[in-house]
Amino acid sequence: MSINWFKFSSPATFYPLAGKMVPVFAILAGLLGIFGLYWGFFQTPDLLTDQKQYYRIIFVHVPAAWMSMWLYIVLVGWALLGLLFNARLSYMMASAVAPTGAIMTLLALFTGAVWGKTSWGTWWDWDPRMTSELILLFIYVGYMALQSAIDDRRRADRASAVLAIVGLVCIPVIFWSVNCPDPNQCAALHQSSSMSGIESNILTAMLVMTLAFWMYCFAVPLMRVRNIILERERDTAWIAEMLEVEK
Amino acid sequence: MSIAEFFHMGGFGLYIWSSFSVTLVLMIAEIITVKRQHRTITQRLSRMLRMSTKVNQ
Repeated sequence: MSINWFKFSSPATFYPLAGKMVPVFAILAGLLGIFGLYWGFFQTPDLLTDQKQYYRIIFVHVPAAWMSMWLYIVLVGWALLGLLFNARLSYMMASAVAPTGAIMTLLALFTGAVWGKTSWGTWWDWDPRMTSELILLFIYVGYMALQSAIDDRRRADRASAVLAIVGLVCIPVIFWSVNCPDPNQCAALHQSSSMSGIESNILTAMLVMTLAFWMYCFAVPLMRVRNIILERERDTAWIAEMLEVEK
Repeated sequence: MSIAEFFHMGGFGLYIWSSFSVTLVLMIAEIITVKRQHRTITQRLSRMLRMSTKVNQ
């Protein structure tokens, strides 16, 4: 069976579809979150050889940090589709993802600072990974600011899409800022993010929490894109009909 | 393990619970904001629709 993907690129088709998807992702996020928290707090050791109980911050820190980078890649993907096909819905998806991405970045920075205070004794250090994550936050904010600064919707979409694509250089920098080729060149305080050394229960809880965050990052941007569709397509007949029915 | 011990988290309770609670609060705040936005937009659009149908009649 082939699916006509272009059908779903029409806001009128996508609006009700997104409305149906939101509760599914929201329930999944809630269930996975409860399971991940239970596993993370009750099935994991209290003490590790190099970290005490504060390592449990990992269950929010790593999912938030991964989502901050992943959502940026998703944002650029939608922006690119928008530029290539001049598709309205793609631009709407890109702008729906941005605030959630910014929140994830903020959370990664905050939980990272708290964790840093316990394990390194400092809230902040201009370590390459932290600095590049902070720059990512600025890129998200810049993207949103640029969109709201330009009145012409089409120009705002295109300009912010270009900004998003240029900002993509930040992602590999964050990703490889720790596994730097020459350790003498870039001293990193942040631990290498290899997964091999992690105790299996901690890894389970962390991955389940990541899935929960991921489901959240589907649910909320889909909720937001519905608002954006309503705002931007308000003069169309299908929205008038839908509001008629809802009354 | 007692409940107090659990919340104490070996002396790191403040750090751990602030991380988890800030995460939860930001997520809930985001959901509430988006839901409110939705209500405001649909209300405004229905009002506009009512006004335009009145004019046309």
